[in-house]
Amino acid sequence: MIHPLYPHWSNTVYRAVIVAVLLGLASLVLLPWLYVRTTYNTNQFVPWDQPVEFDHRHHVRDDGIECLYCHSAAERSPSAGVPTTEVCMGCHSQIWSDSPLLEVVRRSYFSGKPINWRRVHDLPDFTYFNHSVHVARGIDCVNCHGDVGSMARVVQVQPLTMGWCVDCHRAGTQHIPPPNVPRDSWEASLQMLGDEPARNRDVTLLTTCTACHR
Amino acid sequence: MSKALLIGRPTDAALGDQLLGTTWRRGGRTWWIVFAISGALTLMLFSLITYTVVTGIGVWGNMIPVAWAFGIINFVWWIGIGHAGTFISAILYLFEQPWRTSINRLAEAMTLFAVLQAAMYPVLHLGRPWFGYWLFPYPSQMEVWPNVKSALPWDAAAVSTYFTVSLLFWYLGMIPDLASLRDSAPTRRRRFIYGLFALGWNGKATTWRHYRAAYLVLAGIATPLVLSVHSVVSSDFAIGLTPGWHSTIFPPYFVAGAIFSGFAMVLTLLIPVRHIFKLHNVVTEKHLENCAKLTLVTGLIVAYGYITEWFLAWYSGNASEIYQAWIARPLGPRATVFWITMICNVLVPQLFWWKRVRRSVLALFVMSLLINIGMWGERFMIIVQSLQREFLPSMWSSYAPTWVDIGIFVGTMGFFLFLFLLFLRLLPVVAVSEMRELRHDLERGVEHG
Amino acid sequence: MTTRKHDRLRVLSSEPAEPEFSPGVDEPPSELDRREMMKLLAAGAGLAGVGSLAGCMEEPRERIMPRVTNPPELTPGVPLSYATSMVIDGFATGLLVQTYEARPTKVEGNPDHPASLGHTMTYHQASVLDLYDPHRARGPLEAGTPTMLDRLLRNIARREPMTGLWFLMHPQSSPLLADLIAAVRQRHPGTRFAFHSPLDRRQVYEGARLAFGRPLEAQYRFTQADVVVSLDADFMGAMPNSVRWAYDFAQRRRLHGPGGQMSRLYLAEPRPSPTGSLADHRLPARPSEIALLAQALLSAVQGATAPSGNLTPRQQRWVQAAASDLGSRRGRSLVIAGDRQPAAVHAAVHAINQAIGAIGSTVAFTEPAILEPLGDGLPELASAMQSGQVQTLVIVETNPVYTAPPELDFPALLAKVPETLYAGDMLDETARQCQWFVPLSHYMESWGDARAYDGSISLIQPLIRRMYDSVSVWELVAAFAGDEQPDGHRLVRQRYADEAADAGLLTWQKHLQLGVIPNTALPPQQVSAGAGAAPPQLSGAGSSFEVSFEESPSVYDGRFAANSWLQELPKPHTKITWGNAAVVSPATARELGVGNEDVVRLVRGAFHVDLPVYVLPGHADRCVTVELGYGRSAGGPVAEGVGVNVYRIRPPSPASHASPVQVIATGGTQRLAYTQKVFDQHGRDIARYAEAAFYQAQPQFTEAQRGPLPSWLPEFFENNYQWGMTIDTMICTGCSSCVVACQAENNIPVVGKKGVIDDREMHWLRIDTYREISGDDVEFIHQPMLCQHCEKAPCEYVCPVYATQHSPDGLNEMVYNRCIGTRFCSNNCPYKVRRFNWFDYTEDTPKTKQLQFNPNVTVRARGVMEKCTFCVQRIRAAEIVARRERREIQPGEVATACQQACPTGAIQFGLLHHNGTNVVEWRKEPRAYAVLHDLGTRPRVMYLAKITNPNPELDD
Repeated sequence: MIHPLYPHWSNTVYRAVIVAVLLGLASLVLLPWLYVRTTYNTNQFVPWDQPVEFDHRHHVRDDGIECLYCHSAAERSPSAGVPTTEVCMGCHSQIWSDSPLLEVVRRSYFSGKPINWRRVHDLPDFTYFNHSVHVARGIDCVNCHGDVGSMARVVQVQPLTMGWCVDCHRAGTQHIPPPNVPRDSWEASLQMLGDEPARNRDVTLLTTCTACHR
Repeated sequence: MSKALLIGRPTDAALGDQLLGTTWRRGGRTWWIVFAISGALTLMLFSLITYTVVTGIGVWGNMIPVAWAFGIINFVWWIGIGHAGTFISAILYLFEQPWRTSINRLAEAMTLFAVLQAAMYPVLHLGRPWFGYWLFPYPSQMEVWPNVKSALPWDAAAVSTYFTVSLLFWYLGMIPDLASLRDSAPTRRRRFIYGLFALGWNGKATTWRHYRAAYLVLAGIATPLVLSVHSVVSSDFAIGLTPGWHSTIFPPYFVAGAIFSGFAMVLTLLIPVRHIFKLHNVVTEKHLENCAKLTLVTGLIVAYGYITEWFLAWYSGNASEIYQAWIARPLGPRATVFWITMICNVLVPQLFWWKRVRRSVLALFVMSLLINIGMWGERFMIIVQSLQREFLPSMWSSYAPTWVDIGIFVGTMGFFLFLFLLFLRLLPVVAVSEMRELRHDLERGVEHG
Repeated sequence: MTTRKHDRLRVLSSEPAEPEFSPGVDEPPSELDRREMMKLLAAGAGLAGVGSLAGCMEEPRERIMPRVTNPPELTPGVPLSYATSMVIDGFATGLLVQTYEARPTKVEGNPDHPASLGHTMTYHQASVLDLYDPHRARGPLEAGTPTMLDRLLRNIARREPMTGLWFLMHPQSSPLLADLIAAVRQRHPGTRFAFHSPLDRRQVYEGARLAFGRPLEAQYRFTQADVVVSLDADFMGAMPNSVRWAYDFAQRRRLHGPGGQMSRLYLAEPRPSPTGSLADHRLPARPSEIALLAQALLSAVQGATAPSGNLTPRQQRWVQAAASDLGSRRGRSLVIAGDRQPAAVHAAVHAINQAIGAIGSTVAFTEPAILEPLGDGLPELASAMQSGQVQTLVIVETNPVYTAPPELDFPALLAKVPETLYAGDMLDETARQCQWFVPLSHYMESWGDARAYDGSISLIQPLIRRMYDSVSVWELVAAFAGDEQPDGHRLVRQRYADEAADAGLLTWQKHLQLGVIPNTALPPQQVSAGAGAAPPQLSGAGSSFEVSFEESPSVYDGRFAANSWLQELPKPHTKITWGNAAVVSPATARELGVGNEDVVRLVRGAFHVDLPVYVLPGHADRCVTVELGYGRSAGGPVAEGVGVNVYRIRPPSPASHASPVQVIATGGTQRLAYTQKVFDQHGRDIARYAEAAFYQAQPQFTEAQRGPLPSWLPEFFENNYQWGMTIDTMICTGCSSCVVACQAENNIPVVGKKGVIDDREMHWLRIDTYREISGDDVEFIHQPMLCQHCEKAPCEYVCPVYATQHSPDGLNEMVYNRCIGTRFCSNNCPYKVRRFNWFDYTEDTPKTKQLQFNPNVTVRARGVMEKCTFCVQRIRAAEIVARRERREIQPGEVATACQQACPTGAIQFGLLHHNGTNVVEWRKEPRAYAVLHDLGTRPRVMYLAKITNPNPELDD
């Protein structure tokens, strides 16, 4: 026998390679599968720059302004609607009327050019979410938008994926939180009330495709 | 002529030289020319695939009502061809048919490459191929699963399983040969490379024992696949209510058709290879004749399938079914395909009743080609002609393929040939170790039915 | 669901400068984003394997541009409907136009308008597409170079009194325009207005003058007519008041039960028309033979023996039967002649109506709604141009260079005129030969008024700020009257300031909201076809070939040729799209030795055209029907080069037909794009029909095709809240208004001529037409075919990814974003109503066209299946409102687009537990059946068999 075809350590290398190849194949499937579940994919918690440094904490917490005061369309329309410049100026023509922070708003108001906001909560265009019917059933804004009142810049706190939507819609009425109950005591109240809050508001949980896709 | 499975009693060494030799003999000029052509066709295939995916499935001839056409025809045709390999290597192995030994390697390779071609089509024919993976059950964050009532997820599962098992079976069967290549290849480089794939085979008795066990188990797994895969494929049509599809005969009829076309393709490939590599002593008339016999048997089953279709169409009393079977196919648009199918699949195989035909290599070759054509025609008849004439006359229309359709079909043939030529060059065409066993058995005069 | 509002002005005034680019809603208007989303979804998600792609790819964040100030009535995302009117050749049809954030998206009929009653014709449905046509002219031109509109108008207004000033425009009925015309004549004495349309109705008024001594408009009361005899009158499809008449006729026609009474329709015409498909006795007759039939009918009803000489036995039998039926139902029958028929025929028909006591009962006469019905026309203008009297020629809308008879050689005449101004929506054939060009505003951009056929004054109000630098007809004419800054709104308000006052309580706002000024219909006149009624001798018909010129049911006289929806609309009987053909009868085809798509040459004297043949059973022999309006050489890429321009052989008069004509087979062939190739049912009982007598004898003749079938599958009725549709084929004329409505509502793309030839048309709703041929008679059955929403749908179980499923309320749902495009569902759909996006048809939709997209319907990307959804977006919207208000959905609250459009009301839709509604009651009738019932698919769409009411005397 002349010198051997393979060095003595080649078996180890060989096994290692086999393992590596198998893992590689697996990761081709697993990595994307994990990625789409990360906030990188869902764009959660991204504080987008906005043309106006609008601070919800101040307006909601300090001034106690209701969500629906500015986003009034949420009761009548599929889209909650971003308030018109007119609405801002309703107050700010009186107070902070010369604050530099509001320069953009004033310019918009007098020039008639709309303010160019960035959309934070963005659903794919083949998904038709309707605010009015959710609001009418007493689903708090908080459920989907989080506690906006405590945000300097609005960020998306929920994944807004289809899975996340249907989780509620499949959950059963005994999981629909009662209105005007602070988030941390939802569990407790649901323990007590069961599906009563939902029944009182005759909540119907739609899981049919065309409820959202048309 | 002798009915021997092996002419002469060559020594192990001689067999080795003859059969392993094919791998280190340099390819002749013709080989390079054919190889170049097949390579070019392969390139064309992949450029056309890119074109289709980028532009849209509209570049094919499909339309409403004929929403399935070349894509599915070719899929079924290739997957059908794939069936002979596993049949020969698995089923004949379980039935201890010694004549499989000299042709199973080639047949398995054919299976593998054919299934590869087939597997491309279902993905390609999707409107949105990039979502093909939705056919597989995985916990998606949409929280939606595939629909098991449909045949297609089963298709995806069946075909991928079939491919995997065939691959393993083929590879496992090759390990001893790879080992002997490792030991006998002329250059060190080749020996090194073959060695990598030989998985350190050492030919000890224990190794052989384990090997046998594993091979037997795989054969056991592969056998039901031969029946299941094409049954699943057939349900792509059988579960539909389209006149001409809506039939319970489909699974057996499809499986028979698959093996029918598979053996035809084996003959188409085996005869030239036998000639080129001078394998007359190991691949004898006996082998060819057996293939011919099996072709005849399966061919008869297929013919029976046709008859059943016509009968059931009439028996159903359904106007659309009757029109489909008795008028639309033989007389309607593209009826030529129907007649070609009938001639190639029903009449041609009848010639196999004559021994002289079964033993004439030329006849076998020509007929195998005709049968391949016939079986393609059968799929065209079932898919396209049925869809052309459905329930509402207002939506009747007739189908014509585009150049892309044809290009892709030809492309897959090129790709198939490309892979097959590589196989001929790089791997032993005949399972050497098994031939050696066979010779020992023959010498010991072990009876073989 | 949507509220109707009055004055648009407030909304308009508060719009951003460029309404088409950001109406300022928090949904960006441009569907582009929606589309890109779908594509990115494809690519991005394809790689990453995501369902929701809230942002799986690094696309720039979508923008939100809230209005600066918001008009109170407008809520972003909630549509508003406004009343307006569309005018075709002078006659107004009232419409309600749905707008999203000041963006018109969909046209519906105006229930309060006498000419609409809430229904529409194809042209109205498609008109919204013209508004967004990217090829509309965007500014005025002076000798081809852009100029400024206000300067141009100011100069016009300041012109010294002109001599030899001529106007050429479509027939008009606008009272405001009448005033303005008077003003122009005052300012420029001797100004002459020529009213012309290729399909104008001069001969109708001429006929009335022959009969009554003055031009009058006949008002037919089909609701009271037991017997109707139509002489080449397609009164349900192609006449000014067709939408209304179709409804009226259907009221008297539709059977409610086997015992019911239905009207009887005799009809003689060259080629089958929508009305013809409902006729009980349809007599194929060449245009020239109509006159003979009229004369024979007249003498028959007058008791005289019909001149049997030049009538065939079949024609005689037809005339006799019709005459006896008419006679036996005095005052409950009427005769109507086609607009294009010569004056003498109209006069004869008036005499007949007089004789059968129709006048005063089923036929009334009013002053014509249109201005100067017998005033100047094209011939007068032409001779004036010839003799060089025309100094300045203002052409509005009408397109004589394309439509004028070849004898006139209009281009040459035009060259003689020193000063020419053309006002139109596009740079068409005429515009290119005129010195000045002024873009004309779309009616949805203009203020104006017009009269309906019955004279009711209909108001036209804009729904969107002018997209381009354009004027309305009224403003242009006002400029000539000396108005330096003509403003449509001001003009209209001035015109109706007092009108409103007269109307007592009704205010201007109320009028606008109604879209019509009530009680302005013209009063019936006392007439009797007196001495004048003695009809002049009617010219007999030769035996030589005739060419009959018809308006195109798709592009009318060519003015809608730029509208791709209409171009791709299958014609009621031939199913031809994207072009016209030489339509002949089978006998004539045999005589000529030609078949479909063989090219023939039609030669009239020095002029000839080549067209492909289409063979249509039921067509008159030795007669070739050709459609006007094709072969445009200018007017936008959609219009140009589609079909053949047959104006090139159309005689000046009679314009209805040409004879003698040589018909020569050229031996060439030319592809026609038709959507249906086989018209024979092959005895499969798909579209059922029967004669009234038979129906009475065996009411249950469709019994085998309805009712439950044994099934292993579970029942779907989870609740009694189920949607369904009922279609009565006995009042379906095949007019295809529903098809366009569906296209507009559901963002359905067009695929072009090649697409149709390849069988890839996308219409969710198609109309299958079957021809039942027995001897000379052909029975046409139109069957609107849409997704049947099967309770046990074959498409659902074969979809591997659940992209199509059943909803608890009985809809067959299609989820585009889940579809991977296996097309298995289409293969397994026995009705073949599923459509597939073979390419990305929506990819390069022009930005302006994207404004028309219905924001509530996903724009489909490449590679997904689509189909009728029962307008699910409307259902869900109504549900949400009902849920918000905590109530049930009320009957009639949801209407599908096709249902709204259908002039005869043949399509009914609603909840199956709403007893008393048509949709429920109709499907209880014995003639109800389900198509392919035996397959056990349990369709939610039920059809009612077509019942005809032939005259027993004529049965042989």
